[in-house]
Amino acid sequence: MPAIAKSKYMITSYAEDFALFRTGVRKFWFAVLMVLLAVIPLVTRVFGGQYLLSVLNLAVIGVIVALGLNLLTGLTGLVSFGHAAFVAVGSYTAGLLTMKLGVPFWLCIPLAGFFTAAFGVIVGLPALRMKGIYLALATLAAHFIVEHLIVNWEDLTGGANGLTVTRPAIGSLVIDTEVEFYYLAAGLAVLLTFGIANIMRSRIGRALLAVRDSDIAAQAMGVSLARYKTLSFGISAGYAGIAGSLIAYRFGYIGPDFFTITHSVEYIVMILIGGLGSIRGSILGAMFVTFLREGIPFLKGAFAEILPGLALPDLENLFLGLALILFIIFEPQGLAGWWHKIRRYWNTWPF
Amino acid sequence: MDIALQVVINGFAQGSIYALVALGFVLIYKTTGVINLAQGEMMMAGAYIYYTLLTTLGLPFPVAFVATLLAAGILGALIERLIMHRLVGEPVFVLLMVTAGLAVVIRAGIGMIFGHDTFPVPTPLAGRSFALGEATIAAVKGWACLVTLVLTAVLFAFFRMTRLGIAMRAVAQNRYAAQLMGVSVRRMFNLTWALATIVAAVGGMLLADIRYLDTNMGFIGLRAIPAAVLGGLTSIPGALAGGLIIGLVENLIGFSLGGNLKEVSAYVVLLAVLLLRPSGLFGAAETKRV
Repeated sequence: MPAIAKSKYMITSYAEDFALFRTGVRKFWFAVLMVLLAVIPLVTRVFGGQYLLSVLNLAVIGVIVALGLNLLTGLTGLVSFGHAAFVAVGSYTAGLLTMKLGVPFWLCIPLAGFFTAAFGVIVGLPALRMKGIYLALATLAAHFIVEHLIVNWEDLTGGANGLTVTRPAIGSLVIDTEVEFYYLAAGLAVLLTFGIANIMRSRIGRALLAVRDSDIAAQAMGVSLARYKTLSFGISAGYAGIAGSLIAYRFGYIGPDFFTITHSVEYIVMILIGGLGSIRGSILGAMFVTFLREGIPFLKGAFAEILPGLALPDLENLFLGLALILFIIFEPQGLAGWWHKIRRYWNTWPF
Repeated sequence: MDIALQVVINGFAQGSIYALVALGFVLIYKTTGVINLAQGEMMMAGAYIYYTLLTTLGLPFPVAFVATLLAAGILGALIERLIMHRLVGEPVFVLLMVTAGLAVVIRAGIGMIFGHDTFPVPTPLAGRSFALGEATIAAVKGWACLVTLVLTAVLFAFFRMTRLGIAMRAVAQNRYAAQLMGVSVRRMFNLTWALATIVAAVGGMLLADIRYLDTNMGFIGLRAIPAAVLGGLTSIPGALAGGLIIGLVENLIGFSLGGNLKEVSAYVVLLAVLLLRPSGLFGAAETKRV
């Protein structure tokens, strides 16, 4: 009797189990996704035009923040109410480097990331002493202190008037249309997604999970809490910083209004609706929240008849808040949970 | 001299509002282990209910006051029954975010109904003031201090002396043991939320008198968090002390170092407390068994 031939779907080693793409099928679908991402600007040109693409660009920036926040909150179990502050630090770093020192943008983006990461490590140091609700409150306090500095350190940040940032350019190519910005942002987002995926399947990712599930047990197993907690804060803040630099380049202007506590809450809403600890969740959640927010103006007509004095932000917030509460009550796994359920259903479909 | 006295008195008045919000935080945190981020918005809801009863329905002041307390109690019980009750046992972070979502929904709902204009609230106290030494104090501020003191004392006595209060403390200490002793945990949770909303509504009515009514009022909830933490999150007298201290610190710093630093000073205090003494002034230090 011949030995059982190894199926290409059979996993026979740890290396295969931890591989980025476990099967050829996944590789194939990933390639399809990349092609789709690349042709989106062509599709939107036919259908939604500039507006749809501009919303998508905002969503992509949201995806980058959500990926970082999900690493911190979903994977490591540390709560941050201060992510808007991290985004702000990245945004102002990129803006100031561009405007005051004339650093080219392709250098500014990673520099903003690294600087914000360093800032995140500093904010994360108290995390070594606190957890749960106390950490949430500490990051909340940090957020307000950063917001205060931005508004009041006028010589550096321009205060409430904000800061104008020139459009990024490589040689003669100026990135000032939505299409060009889309390729920049989406390209970065894909790279950063790979970054998180690789962290998650490596020792670091497993250590972070161990810290989340029980930090005392993790410590007993030889995971250095100080190292991994601050590392998690650093990486997470770094992602927020990169997203912040993209915000500066996307709008050509930054001001304190972009980085309020409401934004911090919105980033958390993204990962909660998307699904904690899941890359797919970060992406779906950020898309969901951004498109919900941008799609609601189209619903306004229907509501305006009932409530004539209706303000748009109220309607947006109402829907976002309700979505958050309903998701937490009825689908704690978030959109990623839906994905799994649908997939499981089709796996065994006719039965 | 009289300016300094005025600053101190303003600090106490502001601090007593913080104390009322902090009382709400403490009530809910003690029994359910959650910081209710919607506390400020619940306060705002109380103030808007009060305003509607006074102006649109034209009720006399005492009737409107009592009716607001009743409505707030029902609102709190409803929030608990419809939302929080379904989530008992979820991680703290998730509960925290539900209350954040609740805050957003309440603020948006009020904005949709009333708009974002500011309203003066016509109460019997409006415009009155009295003199204390060289300083002039608006009557509302005096009342705010007084009401806060009385309410704290009443709540303190309630938890010490009444059967219901003791049952609630039992639930806070050990849910399962309390249930085995015949305390209905469900009812206690419900009552806690009702009570916290009533306390919030009292704060809302006073605050609406001190300033005016608008949809930014709820943010005072976030600004009272330092007060609750400083007081220790589990202690009712702590909430009072924390509120007064934070109100005083804010006003003294605003007076001596400029208005810019006023709002942020409370958060600096919050960070310092969390780092140096997370159990606050009066809270019990948390110990955990592995």
